[in-house]
Amino acid sequence: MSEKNTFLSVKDLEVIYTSGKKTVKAVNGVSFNLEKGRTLGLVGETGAGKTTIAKSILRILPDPPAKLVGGKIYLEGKEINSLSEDEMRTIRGGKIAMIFQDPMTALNPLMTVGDQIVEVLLLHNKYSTQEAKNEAVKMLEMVGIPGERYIEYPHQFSGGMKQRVVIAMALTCNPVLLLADEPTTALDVTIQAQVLELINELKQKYSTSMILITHDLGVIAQTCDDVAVIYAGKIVEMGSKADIFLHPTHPYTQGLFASLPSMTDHADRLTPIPGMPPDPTRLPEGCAFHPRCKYATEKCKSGSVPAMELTPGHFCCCYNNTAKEVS
Amino acid sequence: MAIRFGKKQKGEDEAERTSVLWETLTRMVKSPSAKIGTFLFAFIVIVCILAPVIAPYGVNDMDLLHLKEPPTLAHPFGTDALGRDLLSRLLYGGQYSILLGLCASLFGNGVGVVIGCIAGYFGKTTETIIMRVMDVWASIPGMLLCILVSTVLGSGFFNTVLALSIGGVPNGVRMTRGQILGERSKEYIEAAQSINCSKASIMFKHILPNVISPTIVGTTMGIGGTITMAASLSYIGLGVQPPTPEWGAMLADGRSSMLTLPHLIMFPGLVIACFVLSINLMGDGLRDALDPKLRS
Repeated sequence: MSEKNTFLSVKDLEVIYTSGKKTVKAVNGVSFNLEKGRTLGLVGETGAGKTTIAKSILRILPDPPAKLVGGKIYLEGKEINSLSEDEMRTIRGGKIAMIFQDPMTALNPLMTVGDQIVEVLLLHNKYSTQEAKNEAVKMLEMVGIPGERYIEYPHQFSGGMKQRVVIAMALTCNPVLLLADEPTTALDVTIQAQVLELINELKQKYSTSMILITHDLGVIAQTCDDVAVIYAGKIVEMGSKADIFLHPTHPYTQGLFASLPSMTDHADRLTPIPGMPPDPTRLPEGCAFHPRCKYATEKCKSGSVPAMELTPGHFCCCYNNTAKEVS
Repeated sequence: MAIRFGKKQKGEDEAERTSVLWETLTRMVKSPSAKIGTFLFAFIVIVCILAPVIAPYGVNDMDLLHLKEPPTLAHPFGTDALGRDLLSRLLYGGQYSILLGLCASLFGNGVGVVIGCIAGYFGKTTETIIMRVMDVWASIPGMLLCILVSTVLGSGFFNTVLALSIGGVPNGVRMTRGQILGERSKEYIEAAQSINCSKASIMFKHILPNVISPTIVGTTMGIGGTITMAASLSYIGLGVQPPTPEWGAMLADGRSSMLTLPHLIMFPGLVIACFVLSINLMGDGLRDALDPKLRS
């Protein structure tokens, strides 16, 4: 599949963070493709580099400390990294929008929610203020907030309501790609379900593609078509939802599933993955997961592990399988 | 869509902006202390503006029969060493002192806020350079800077404002920058970037309103200091030249005869204190009015 006709294509993305003399390799050669209308779930532990990937697509990495050192990102055949800031203008917020993790802080506390939506609209459309206001009221009602609450401030909303406002802000310019960065992490479970349902519904309505970042496999199961498992800034396993959920192959993926509580069995203790995520300033040689992996062999300790295609579309970076290597 | 935006539904942008300002002002005078402050401030300003009409004597009219007199019916605040009526001079002096105090404090802190915003938002080298310059700036005593600037520029209203405000800049910069450091990492700033706000609009529309409260309080507190500083300037012959009346200068004049003629420092001191108090109360009210969480 060439990057020219794929909707979104990320090739060998590498991002580092520098603090003082230390260099943190946050993203180490991540590649993936996303087709139009589909949802890709990025799953991994805290600090695995999920949010960094999303921010590099939008080019809002805080520089410094973050720095994009390699890789290319194509959206609808256009390379995003080489666009001028002017060209980026139509993309950021217009074509690609982001939903942030914490609705409590993602809204400006001193602006009414309506005005914040109007701001997006005015930045990307030639609306008059009145038209933008009417549009903002429509958006609020679409995400299930009464239009009269346009003039209220963020602190007058509950967490779930705020997240709805954030979603309304993100969707207001009909983006073709939605980056949802743990949209439900800060919400309680019942509200999580509502918000996910809302995102799904709106995504289908506008046939938006989405990258959903989460560490909750349940959320992935509910919303995604494809899944990429990220460990220490690398995609260790990628495939369709069925591939990953039914045939988890990488020991890390298996570990993730093993650590989920089961509804049917009664267990006093869960089965965690032993050890801690590696210090990102000193990633282990070879496969970054080998110090925690029970299948690790000498081969795993040096050189990078290539992606291997197990079944069409299901890739795994682990020697511990019988599949053929792909370049 | 028939949604009413309360009073805002006037359609025109201009109309809405004035109504927002009006709303803030009405909200500001809701709390009793802010109300007192606003009325006191308005009262002082109005009587000073009306000085030519209501002052019992002219600014420099000397009553040679009543020199150094304590308050009497003819001279409610007494007279000074030259027999000038203290009340009249306070009224006229207010025109100058109030304007000077407000302008210098607002200007100094205003410049400080803008520079502080730039330092805090851009960080990196920009911040280092600005903050080191501010350190040097702040290490020079304010009075000395003030004297330097007014010596170079000479006297006159704008020159004095400039001289008085220049010492306040580093404070404004530090305060704003410190606040921004805490605010910069919040997610709504990132969200604003992600919808493609320009840097200026993120700085001044999103961050600044969220960090301005301490600066508002600082500015209002600084006005009293500025007025007395203006007095020191005129004392060494650089600020307002006598016989122009000015609160701080009058206070300084009375200092030599503090024990024998206490009314000469009491009344100017009282007036300055009342004025500063009124501005502080107003500043507090303004800060509360700008915080949506305290609105109801």
